[in-house]
Amino acid sequence: MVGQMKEQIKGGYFEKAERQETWSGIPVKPLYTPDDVKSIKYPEQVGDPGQYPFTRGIYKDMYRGRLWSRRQITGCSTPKLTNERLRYLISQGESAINVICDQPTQIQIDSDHPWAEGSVGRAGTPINTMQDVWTIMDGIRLDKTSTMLTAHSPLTLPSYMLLADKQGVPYSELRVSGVITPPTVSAPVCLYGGRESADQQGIPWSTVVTQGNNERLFDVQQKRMKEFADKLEFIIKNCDKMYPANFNGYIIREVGVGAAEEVAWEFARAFESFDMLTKRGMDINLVAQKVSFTFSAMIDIFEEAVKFRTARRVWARNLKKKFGVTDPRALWLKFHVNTAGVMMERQQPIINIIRAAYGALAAVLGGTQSLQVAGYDEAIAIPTEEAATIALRTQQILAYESGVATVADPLGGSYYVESLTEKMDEKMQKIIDTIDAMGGMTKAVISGYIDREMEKAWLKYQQELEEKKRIVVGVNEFAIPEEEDADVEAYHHQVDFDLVHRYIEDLKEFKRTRSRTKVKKALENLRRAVETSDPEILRFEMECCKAGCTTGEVGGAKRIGVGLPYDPMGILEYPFD
Amino acid sequence: MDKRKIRVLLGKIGLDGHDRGIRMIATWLSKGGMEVVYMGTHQTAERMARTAIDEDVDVIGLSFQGADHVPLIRMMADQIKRNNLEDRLLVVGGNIPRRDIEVLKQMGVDEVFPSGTAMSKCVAYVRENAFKRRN
Repeated sequence: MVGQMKEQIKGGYFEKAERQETWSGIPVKPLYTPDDVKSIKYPEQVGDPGQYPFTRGIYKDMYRGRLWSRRQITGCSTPKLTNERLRYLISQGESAINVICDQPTQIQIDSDHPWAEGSVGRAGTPINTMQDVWTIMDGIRLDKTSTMLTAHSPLTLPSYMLLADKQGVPYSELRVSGVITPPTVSAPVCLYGGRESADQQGIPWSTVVTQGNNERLFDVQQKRMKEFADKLEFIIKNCDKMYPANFNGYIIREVGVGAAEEVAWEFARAFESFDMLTKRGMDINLVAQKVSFTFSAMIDIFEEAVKFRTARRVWARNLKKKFGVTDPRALWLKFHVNTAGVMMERQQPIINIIRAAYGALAAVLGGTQSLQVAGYDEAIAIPTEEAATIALRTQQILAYESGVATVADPLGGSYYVESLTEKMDEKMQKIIDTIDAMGGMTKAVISGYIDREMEKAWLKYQQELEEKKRIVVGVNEFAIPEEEDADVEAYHHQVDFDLVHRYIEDLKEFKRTRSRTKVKKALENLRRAVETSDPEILRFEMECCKAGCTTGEVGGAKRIGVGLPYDPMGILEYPFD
Repeated sequence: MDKRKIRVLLGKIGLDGHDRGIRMIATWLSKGGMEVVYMGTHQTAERMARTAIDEDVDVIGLSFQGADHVPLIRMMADQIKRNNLEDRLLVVGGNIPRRDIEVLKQMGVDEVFPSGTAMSKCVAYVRENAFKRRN
């Protein structure tokens, strides 16, 4: 035992840093000097914060002008529990909110659907009715708190508008982002097995996979693009503070691809949407202002900070070149960052606090507008109150104590950072050009190219873990026996599942006692509006909310409207024929 | 005991679509010389059981990410009983909290491989135990 310890101590003393590349595989040298940056032209390639190409930030004064939004993802087992958690986090200094739905809601089926059994309230909050949205937001002013809503019920936006009416908040003061989803294919369509994310994105994935029927796909996509464009036009006109379209690169990164793919693939998707919108005659200078992104922050601090710096300039340059954008505000890349969920390990979970803090540091060094820090229990469940609090405190330490918010782009001018920024730019542009050559992201996904690239990436990553070419602390090195590890209490161990059961029973009771005639009429009107591509679908959705229609019914009526079956799971019939 | 290749059925039951883990294990089991039938996502316990019979598999493997593993594995255990599939090895992987592992084993799960387990460890376990209740 003693001999073995001596061996380790001696070995440790002579240990070297073995890795010669960034976490996502870009080769790097042991040292960077003025030679590495001498060809970089500061005004053209870097530029001051607030100036094209925005490498150093979109605002002149960055966080001295406004801190990033401290925005924790929240979704507990019922709307009421979600509201309690939101109020708690706001009372602890959270400055913005992000509400996430459970699996059934994301796939747009009701909590009493046979397929929902066992999944209600497990990985987010259920939303079945307008009242659920109102319950979640109870006591929260829509004009004071910025809300991010991605992967949601079709009831969410209309219920929000109706809640604004009730609170007396004009639409022009609503601070909401990510509430309408662009109907263009994103890489994670393959990742998440297709059906759910595809449907959120307006793509009938089953048609693509099972029938290879692309014509049908594009037909549905056209209808949904029209709806998206109409809603966007309404929002541009009436909701000055809304950033309704959010493109999510985070999920792409979670599969294991590199930093450049994360950004470039989602940019390619945004460009495809812009193509469709400009073909309709919409002004790109207005459209681009209404768009934001979600990115991941992995563990490699410099690579991640560089990714954000590079993304800003690649975005601005491509918008200028491809779409002729002239308004500088339309060239700003605005983004939210989630510290990577995939880097949170189940083993020795407490040390995840440190990983998340490094991710958060990279995001802030990279100039993010908004940040979510994952709970240390991310690998096993949605965060407990304790984990969510520590995550929020991590942000606050960064904001108030660490000094990183004081100076804009504090990494700017570093030989390494500027040199890696050039390399990252080259990589991202090359990927964008590759997707362009394939005819856009939808075609790249359908052809199977994206799926193959993702699989290659995760197999390589796992192989490196198995061979210890890549070390993850506590997982493939410095591991401790399972029985000595911390037994973290998961959120769902704390939930009284009678509450969820009662919630579902209440929903059934609500469906029994509402006016069937009103529900039927509102759904028929919505279905017809979608069928005829009426420009005011949102108004019909608001009528559905008022009539007491549910997520599954509204989602279903809209599916029929574009020519798809009512039930995404293929077992329920339209109940009002 | 057997020259026959080990046959493994893999799939995800329920609504969750996170399939990186299960596709990864499918690759590793194949590389390890086993025959893998991969059902994909959005499967039901009933469909898994039916396929297990049709394909005469030795092992059934499920993967979970959405914190819904307890109720969904209960459904699978029920189907296994109903179809007399108790002689098949049942293994589970994914984001499983430690204190749920015992609960799952009591339902009839032979082994749980929580996220972060080395692929080589999963392959070795399946190879060693695939036929433990089959003749």
